[in-house]
Amino acid sequence: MNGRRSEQLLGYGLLTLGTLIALYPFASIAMLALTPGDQRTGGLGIPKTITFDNFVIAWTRGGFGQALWSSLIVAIAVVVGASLVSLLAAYAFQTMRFPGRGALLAILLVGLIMPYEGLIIPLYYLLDGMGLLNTYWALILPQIATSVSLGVLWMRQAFASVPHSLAEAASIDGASRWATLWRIFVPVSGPAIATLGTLLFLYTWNEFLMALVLVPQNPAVQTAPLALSFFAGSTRNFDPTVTAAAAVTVALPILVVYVIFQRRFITGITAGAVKE
Amino acid sequence: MHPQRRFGVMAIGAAAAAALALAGCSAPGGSSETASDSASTSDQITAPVTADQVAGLGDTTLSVWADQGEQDFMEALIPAYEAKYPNVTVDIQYKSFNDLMATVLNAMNSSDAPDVTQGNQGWATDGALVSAGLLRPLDDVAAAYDYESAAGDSITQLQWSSDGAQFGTGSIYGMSPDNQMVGIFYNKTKLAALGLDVPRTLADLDAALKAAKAAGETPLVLGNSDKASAMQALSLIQGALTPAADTRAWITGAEGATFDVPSNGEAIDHLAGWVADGLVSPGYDGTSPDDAAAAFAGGEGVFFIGGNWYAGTIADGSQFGFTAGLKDGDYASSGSFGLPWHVSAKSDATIAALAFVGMVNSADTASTLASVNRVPIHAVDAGQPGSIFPDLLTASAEQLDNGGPLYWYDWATDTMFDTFTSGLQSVLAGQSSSSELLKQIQDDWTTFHTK
Amino acid sequence: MRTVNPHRPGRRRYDWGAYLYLVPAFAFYLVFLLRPVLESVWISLFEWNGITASTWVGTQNLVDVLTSTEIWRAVGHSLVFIVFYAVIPTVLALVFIGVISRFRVRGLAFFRAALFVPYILSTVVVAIAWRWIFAEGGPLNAVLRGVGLGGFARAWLGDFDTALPSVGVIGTWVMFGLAFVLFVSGLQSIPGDLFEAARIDGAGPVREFFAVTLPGLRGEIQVALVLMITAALRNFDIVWNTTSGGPGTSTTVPSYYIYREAFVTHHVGRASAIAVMLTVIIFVAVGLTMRLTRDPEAGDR
Repeated sequence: MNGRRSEQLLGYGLLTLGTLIALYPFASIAMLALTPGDQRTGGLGIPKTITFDNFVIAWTRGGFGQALWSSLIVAIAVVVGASLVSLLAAYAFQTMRFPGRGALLAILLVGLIMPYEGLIIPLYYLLDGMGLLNTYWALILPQIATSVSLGVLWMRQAFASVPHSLAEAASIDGASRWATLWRIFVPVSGPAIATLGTLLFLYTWNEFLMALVLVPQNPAVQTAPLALSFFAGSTRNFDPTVTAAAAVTVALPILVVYVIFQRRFITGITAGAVKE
Repeated sequence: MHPQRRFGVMAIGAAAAAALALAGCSAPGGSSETASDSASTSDQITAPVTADQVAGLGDTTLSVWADQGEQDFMEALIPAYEAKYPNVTVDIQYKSFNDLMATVLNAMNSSDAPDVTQGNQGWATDGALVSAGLLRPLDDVAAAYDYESAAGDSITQLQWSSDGAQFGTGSIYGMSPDNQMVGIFYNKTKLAALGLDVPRTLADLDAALKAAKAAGETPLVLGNSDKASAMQALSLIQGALTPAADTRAWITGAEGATFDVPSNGEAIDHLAGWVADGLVSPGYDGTSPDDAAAAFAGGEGVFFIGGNWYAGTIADGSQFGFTAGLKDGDYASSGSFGLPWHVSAKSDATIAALAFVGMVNSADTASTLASVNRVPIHAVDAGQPGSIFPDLLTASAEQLDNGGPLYWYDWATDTMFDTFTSGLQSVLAGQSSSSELLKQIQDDWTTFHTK
Repeated sequence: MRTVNPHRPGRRRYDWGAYLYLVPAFAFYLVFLLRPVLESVWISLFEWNGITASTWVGTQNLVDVLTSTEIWRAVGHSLVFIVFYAVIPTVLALVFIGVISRFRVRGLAFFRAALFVPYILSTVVVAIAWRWIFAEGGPLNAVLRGVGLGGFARAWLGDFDTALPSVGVIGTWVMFGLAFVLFVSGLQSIPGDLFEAARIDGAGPVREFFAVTLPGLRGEIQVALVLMITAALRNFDIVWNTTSGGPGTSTTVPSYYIYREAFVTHHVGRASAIAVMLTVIIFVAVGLTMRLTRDPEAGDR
């Protein structure tokens, strides 16, 4: 079947081309980062000799060790905090009857599309008043708030698929509501919680504007993307090979996590977006 | 849930949320607590600060913000400071100029403000800092460290009325140890090969650029990805066509001043003409000034118009020379003292901060500055032959002794940097006209000064 | 969707304890999200430098913003970005889907994972990578010079004519993976017998696409468009880290002005007015997108 053949050829051709384009920019700066600064030819060349000097320079001058550590602290705190408050709220929404249930859910939905460019200014002055600017809290607390909408809707969805019989059995055994949540609902929804955690981790890790506005003064709590932006923006460091090394350094951890958890990422994004 | 319904529900949710959360709003900034007379002048000094005075603080960390261009100078100065005042540890943060300007005002206003920071003369930064009462006046420090006499008449660029409403008069709020100016770097070898003298008039410069082009060279190397470099290059032409005193009056906010005069339009058109004639390196808006300076120092092009701080990159005096603005305009070009050092009015280590700013601006540091090719305000030896430094000294004296510097256009208002630089990029790219730009610039000025 | 209720209380009995479970989530949500949003509206009614006392100016800031050519120019750039961030990725991804829906693709999981990489990278990393690609001495110009099109070589992000589309291309690159991944998952949920029926009817690839694939992906397209249009309108990170709005004002966007006016030039009231405007624009855009992509058979509920 000739038509079939050419369709396949076209299909694989497109996918391969797309993959090359998707991967090229990162590969390109990775190669640039490995090129000795004085051998930079510009353009497409693959470096003749390979050096890790650029990484050493970027690492020491840009303070990326601290920045990656800060990113990790903030991301884990947001993932844990947001998942926890979300699953509590979702449990109530899913299993209990109370006045205002619909209205409260609707209020939460607003958060799904609310651009936080719209709230960053008051947030700055709020956190300044609390004395929390330039601390981890300035990044953690607001990002828990911006994660709550997704978290609650996501967990409600997950809890909805907990088999009726399980919950009933627990209740007959005389388990309290609190115990039922932790003994039945949470364990059964383990995969959904893990996926939510992965999603929130990705979003938090990559957040830029909040970090730029809320922790501008304290290098000790600046996250990796912000440190990278400052590093690349300071003209004094403008050696493209070193900047490229810095960018690769910041990207690598998330890439490694992605390679390991890529299924979870993708099902997370698709399910998170399409469901509910 | 069906999307349509979801959106409707969302709208209801938003309304409900509004009702929920509106409680408890009060006017932002609250009642005025930052009366400018609160600018404290505690710890008045009459002589350079002694170690004993500072020792009273006990173990102290002095937090300092500086432009990254200060790094070489600071790395020499801080050990000396910590040796002289052993109970103080200096915690310094370097920022790129743009990052510094973007964050200094909020930082000085925040609860953990740095004790010492660099600012920028002019309305956008220092004017705002003074009017918010965030800076301690430094008249006593300037007197105690013989700074006032060394600075001479130029001291006015550091003075503000205590409410920040007048620039160029009142107390000294900042001190800066060096003089900066825009001038012409030239490649000596190539000038000689082209049979040209160092251009000292606009006509000479035009001719030299054209000759360089005819010889297949890049006449003028420019990197303008910071947006400011083209504006600085413009100052050389504008200084030659418009009296410097008029420009300074406009920048300092003198009543009725205007930038919208024909000679300024000519200056802008003149620079645009260079671009149109291919006398400026291509892709300049996508090239960083440091890259451009490095390329010039590496032998590309014949001229580089830029600040004397690029002498750190273009340092080889046997290859390169530096000269002040053009004779037509009494050597006027953008220039001023460097980014001034300030002491926070909220510092709880004021005496240590005064000692730091005093030391930075004392006669003792002049040779340190000279060693990194910066022109000190205090007198200094001409330095090593073969360095570009003697050229820098000559140019600085030439400008200060004649018409004086123009200052920097972006000092004029808090938004002038954007208005001027974005607009100039547009004109140079042929996207708009000089008359439109002059109108935008003057509108910005009028809006700011009628507030 | 069935509500699981392990306690089965009496029919009309309320569970007042539920609020205890809601308190933590709503505390965060109210303090750090809802209240700030409304405060933005409030602050926009003042002239305020962020430091000293503010002055009530009513709707003056909003009027200024709504009559400002520079703000509308920025909004115009955002509309261009919608084309690059949403329309082009959607169309491209649909082309891909149309082709691969015709046969069983081996290694689809790999392709899907690879194509999704741009979306998971930090926007700052993305900006730096593309800054290099678009640089005067970067790979793109090297290719152009290599194939004899050196005349087109330029500093792509520093040129008035090309900066805006260049930033847009970065957005297309990032968003394509998202659209593709969503559509693949949608494709997998279209019942196989629909395709078979179309083929038995003798439908060619094009008719099959419009009769089966496209309608089957309606939900995914809607979601993708909402996500991508929102991202286009909010675009700050990539603009900030590539062009900072330049050259001139050729790549400014509203969020760039929000940041600049609030935190650099200290016109906090005006910045808040822009923030309010942007928020309204985004809500309207999302509403419009949902309306335009609604299920025609579901009626107008």
